[in-house]
Amino acid sequence: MNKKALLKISNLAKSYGSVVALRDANFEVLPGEIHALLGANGAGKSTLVKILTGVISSDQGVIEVNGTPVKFTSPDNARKGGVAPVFQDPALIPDISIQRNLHLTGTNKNRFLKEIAQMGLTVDLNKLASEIELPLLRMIDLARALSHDPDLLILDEITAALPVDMAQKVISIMGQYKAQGKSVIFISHRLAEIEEICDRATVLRDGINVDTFDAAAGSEERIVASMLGDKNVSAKEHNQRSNKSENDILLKVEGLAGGKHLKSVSFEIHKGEVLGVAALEGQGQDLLFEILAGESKPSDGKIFINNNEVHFNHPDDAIKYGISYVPGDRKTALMPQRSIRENLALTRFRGLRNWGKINFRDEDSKVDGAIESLEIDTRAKSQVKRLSGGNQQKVTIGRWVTTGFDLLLCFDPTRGIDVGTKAQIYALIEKFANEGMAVLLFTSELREIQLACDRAIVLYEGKVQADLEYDNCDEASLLNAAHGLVGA
Amino acid sequence: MSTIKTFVGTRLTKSMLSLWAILIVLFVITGLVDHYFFTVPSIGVTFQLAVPLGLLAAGQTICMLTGGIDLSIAMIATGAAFIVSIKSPSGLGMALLYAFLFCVLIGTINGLAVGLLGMNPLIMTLGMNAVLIGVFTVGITTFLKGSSTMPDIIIKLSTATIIDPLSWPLVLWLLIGSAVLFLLTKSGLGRLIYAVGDNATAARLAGVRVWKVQLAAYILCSLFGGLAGLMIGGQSGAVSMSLADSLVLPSVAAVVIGGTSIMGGIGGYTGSIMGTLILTVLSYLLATLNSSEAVKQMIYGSIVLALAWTYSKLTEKS
Repeated sequence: MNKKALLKISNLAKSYGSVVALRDANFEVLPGEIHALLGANGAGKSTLVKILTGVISSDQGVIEVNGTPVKFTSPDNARKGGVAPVFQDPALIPDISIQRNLHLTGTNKNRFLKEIAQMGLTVDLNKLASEIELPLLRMIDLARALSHDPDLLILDEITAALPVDMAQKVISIMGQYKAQGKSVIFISHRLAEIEEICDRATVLRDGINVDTFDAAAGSEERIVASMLGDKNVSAKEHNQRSNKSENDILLKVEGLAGGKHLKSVSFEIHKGEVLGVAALEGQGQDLLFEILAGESKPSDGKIFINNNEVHFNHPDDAIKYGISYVPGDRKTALMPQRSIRENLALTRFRGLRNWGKINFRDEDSKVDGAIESLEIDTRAKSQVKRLSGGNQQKVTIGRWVTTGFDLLLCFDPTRGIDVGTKAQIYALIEKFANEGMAVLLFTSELREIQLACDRAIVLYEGKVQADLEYDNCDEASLLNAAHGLVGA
Repeated sequence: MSTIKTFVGTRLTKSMLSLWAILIVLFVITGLVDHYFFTVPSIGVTFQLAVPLGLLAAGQTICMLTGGIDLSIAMIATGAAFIVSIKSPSGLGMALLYAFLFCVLIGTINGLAVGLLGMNPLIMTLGMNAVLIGVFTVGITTFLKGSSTMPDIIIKLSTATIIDPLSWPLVLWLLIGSAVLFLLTKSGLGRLIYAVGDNATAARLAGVRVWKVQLAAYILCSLFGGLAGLMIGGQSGAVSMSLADSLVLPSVAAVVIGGTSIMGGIGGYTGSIMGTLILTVLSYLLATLNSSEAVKQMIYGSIVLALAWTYSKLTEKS
């Protein structure tokens, strides 16, 4: 380390009331380095990024850029100081055009278009940000950040839920950027990406940097070990359940269609089965899940439960048939200002007959049961918005544990969640299946299919492109089918 | 676990404590300005005068917790009082029944418009307020012509002292207040009221028919409005078009002072009770200082704006 650090962070700390988000963070980013920032949910990554980009101020500690102490007071201020972030949720105002969004941040239009062209993309600048799909929006946000020529680019989970081709694009952009002698802080839960592109990695745990090392191939074990500390849990290998018969078909879907993307989807799912769904972005998977949950109506097709055709007008109808839905964006399923208890118990109060006096004894036992079986961290139980992402996700699943269900629809439940919590969620899904419940699981991380599912269907252009048995669910086969390369 | 519990505990008590502090300071100042204020009968009367506002605030709290607001509440109050005074010759029971049906009708229209048609609650209830003003202005000279005095029993329940400072209206408020607290903290509907206000999409995904909760909230709000109207009518003896006019803004202010978010999902009736008492003492103080109604409204308005600004700053930080 002869080179002088581009960014040096010393003793950074931040607390929200009595909740310590960042205790004592120290690390350096060298010029021309891609530095991974890792940590379980709640380890303090987001807080650190917010401080670095001037969104919030730290309680104590020093940030130095090129040896000069700095204090960014706003994102704009940070951008001028050479630090530009790109977040998982693009920082674009939805109701105005891309052009105006660029204007707001003082971005040079021609420069932006050049960056977009280099990514091999095209963007209509007159379109409203809300009309553009999330993956492209993230790339636009990235191009905008690059247009400011920052010395340090911060990418916060930008590849989460990004289709494989786009994620690959981001990685090659980072490589080019590094070649220009610039630096990147890269936050991701996808360890394969970290090993592929990063030079060094710093791991945060409980708000402290616990380890910094070269992120060479094979460092996965070390990453996981230092992220989890002594509570090391590894993702369990999948046990296959094999007692399927024609009689135990729980849900059958025939020719389901709706919206722009969902053309004609047919499949069946058995009791005690975990059926994976794999697809690139925009193949109709979102709508498929919403229709099965009673949140949207199909334009065509039939749904059968235990061989009886059903029609859903409201999520309540689906719930009555034992179908529970965990949406992809956990914010849509949570009441941020209410307690863990109220969030877990919410669905118990649907239906007029539950409007009366609460049976607190029964609620206590069900809520405590869910907290225990999901190992929810209740330190910040008064408001779920204070929980880490992983714990919030557990609450969205735990809600259904308090009432029971036959089929759980899980849309990308491990998106942006740390390795330890991921393993817990796989284990939970497996437990549901062993108890005879069925799980339909969409995941944007293809590797997860073999970790959690018994079988998988791959959607392509709104249809089932392939129906694969467990042994054929390797990443390569899934990816081929997802690109429409294998016949159904 | 326990540290967070105490943390939240102190946080809540802190805001409660500051409300108490404000109330006591106002109380003392008022007493210093007007020595009569510290006598038992005066305190009794002050409490009595707080009750109608407390009832309006109960309705407003329920509405605002769902993320709504009811600006037609003052005209609902006035309307209910009108109906009771006009129908009282045909018997108190009938009069109350008509007023009850009127409140349920208006609450239902407000609730359905907000819940099923997705109308903005501000616009909807403001429009409803205008419609009601029109109906009753025409009505009192035509189809609602008649007595404008309240039945004796209502006057008694609105004003009679049991033992100073305890009065019938205060007893009623204690009973109704307990029921509201029970509803919000111990009932399933209460949970749903908070849930809908915090995140209606989450509530729907959990199987809750959101519109039914909103409908219930607006009907309840309307009923509390009607009840308050009867009490105001009882306290002033006769009914007029401007009976509850000056209480719209205070009914919102009392709730906001008490810490209920205008966006819904957080707060409660205990805070609104404190807000009601603070505004009532403040209003007494302003009256002793010979302030006009205009000055009072200016002060209420400023309080709402200042608090709304403070709360938005607070939520921005967290």
